[in-house]
Amino acid sequence: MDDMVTITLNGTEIKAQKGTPLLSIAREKNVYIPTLCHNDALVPYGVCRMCLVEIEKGGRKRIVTSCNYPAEEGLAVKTDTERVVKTRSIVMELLLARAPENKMIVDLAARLGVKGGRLTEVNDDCILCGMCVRVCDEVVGVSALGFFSRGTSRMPTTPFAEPSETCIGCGSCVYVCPTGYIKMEDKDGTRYIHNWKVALKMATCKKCGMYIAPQRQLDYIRKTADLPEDFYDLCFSCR
Amino acid sequence: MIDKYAVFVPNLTNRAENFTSGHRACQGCAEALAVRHVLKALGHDIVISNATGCMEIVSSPLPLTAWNVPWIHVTFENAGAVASGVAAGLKVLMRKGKIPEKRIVSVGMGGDGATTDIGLQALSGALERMHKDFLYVCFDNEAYMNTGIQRSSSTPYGAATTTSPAGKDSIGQHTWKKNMAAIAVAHDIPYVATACSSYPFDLQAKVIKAVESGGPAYLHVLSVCPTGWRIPSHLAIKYGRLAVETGVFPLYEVQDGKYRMTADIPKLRPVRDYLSGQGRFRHLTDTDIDIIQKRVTKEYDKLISLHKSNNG
Repeated sequence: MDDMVTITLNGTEIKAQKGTPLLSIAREKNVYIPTLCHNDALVPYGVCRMCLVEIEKGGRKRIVTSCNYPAEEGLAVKTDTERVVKTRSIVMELLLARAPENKMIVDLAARLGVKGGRLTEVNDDCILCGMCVRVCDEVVGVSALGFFSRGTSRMPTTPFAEPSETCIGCGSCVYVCPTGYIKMEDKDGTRYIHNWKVALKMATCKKCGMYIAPQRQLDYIRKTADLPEDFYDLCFSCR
Repeated sequence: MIDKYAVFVPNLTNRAENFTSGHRACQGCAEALAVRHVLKALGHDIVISNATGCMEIVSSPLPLTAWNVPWIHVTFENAGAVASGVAAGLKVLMRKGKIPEKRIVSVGMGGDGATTDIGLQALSGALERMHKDFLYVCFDNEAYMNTGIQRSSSTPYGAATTTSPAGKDSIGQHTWKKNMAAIAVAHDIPYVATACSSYPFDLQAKVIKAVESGGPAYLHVLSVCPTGWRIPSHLAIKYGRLAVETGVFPLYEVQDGKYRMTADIPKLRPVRDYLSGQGRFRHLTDTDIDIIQKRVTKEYDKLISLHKSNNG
């Protein structure tokens, strides 16, 4: 039990594994901390700045991102101080100015009691959280996506913004995207992910003709898992 | 929506397990799986009123519980009534400032017996009162499986159960399955959907949509029961898929009265594929299967035409 540490969360003393991100501890205790760029399967990235908390260590107070701040002995964490609320509100206001019509952002702003109107609105649904880029690299292992350019023109895209040749059409980026910016559509046996300009042909079951998944995805899984050539000839129901 | 997220997305869903392992459901129970996915989609801020049935009996033998969220066991009759009481109670507590103001969803849960037979009038009342943040989920395994496979009004035509046995003069259940989703739609509530645990992301997406609709929402989840359907326990997922792919249990949602099919099925399989492997249907003759096929096609076409007229 050497690696257990005692921290206080909003005044309550709790024991936690040393090094656990503060966000995970708070979630376990059902303390609400909003996030936009966090998923348990991904390495914390700390870009959306919604998970800000105030920590006190050795008499010094600081604002940190809870998603990547590790628990350490004697840490006092507060999630709802005036300073936290104020700092987070400013971040929220900036996000709201970027995506003023996005339902997810508007709802979160309403929940946090933040109103827009002070800043120039951009209307870009992508909030640059990097979820799509990271999931494609860390979970899928294809790395079809990356960030392009810097500063105000930064955006997630495929290499040279050309139709991706490596994207397997698994839809993980669509699933994790917090704002619904990435659009995917299945139509007449083809899967489109419009943001990456891909149109992938769906493989069909050789027996019943049902769509299984994009051919490229099946090829990728077959190759990585070393499965026999005919493994995906039949759909799940025909096997 | 369906099947789009096949392999990698399971790693990305909510990892919190609010319906924990170690409960006493049968091997291969797809209903336990359905409950697990529903809870993953619902998150922490819920109160569950669970009618008597399989999921209640397997998850709460004193002094144990499989639930990591507030949960109350109620009788067959009143899951709808208690869930609406919870919704009203929470509203009052928030108004009086006894608990902080936030969205807490009151979730009613029941099997097909508790929903389509015994608890129907309480549920109808709850839907009619238009509670906010109210969701009722019916886990339909097509008979009273918990007490030993007695027929319910949700048992499909031709299925053999202990109270509708098949024999020389009987083909088993001799009436058609009650269309509970249509009854819910008739209440003019914001969201009604059918789902199946063989399509977990579709199921989770529908739960989220139901909660976001705000008003009372109803979900009808087909939960394959290997024990009662007389199929091997490793085939529960496959039979859920077959039910959808043959059109026996079409997946659709009704949002503000507008129908939308959620499964992209180019061509329906013959119902024989679904019926043939199940012990409860093994006595059916070709003529019986033809009768079922006709009915399934007719009902499916009805939905397709509703879908087309609502979606251009």
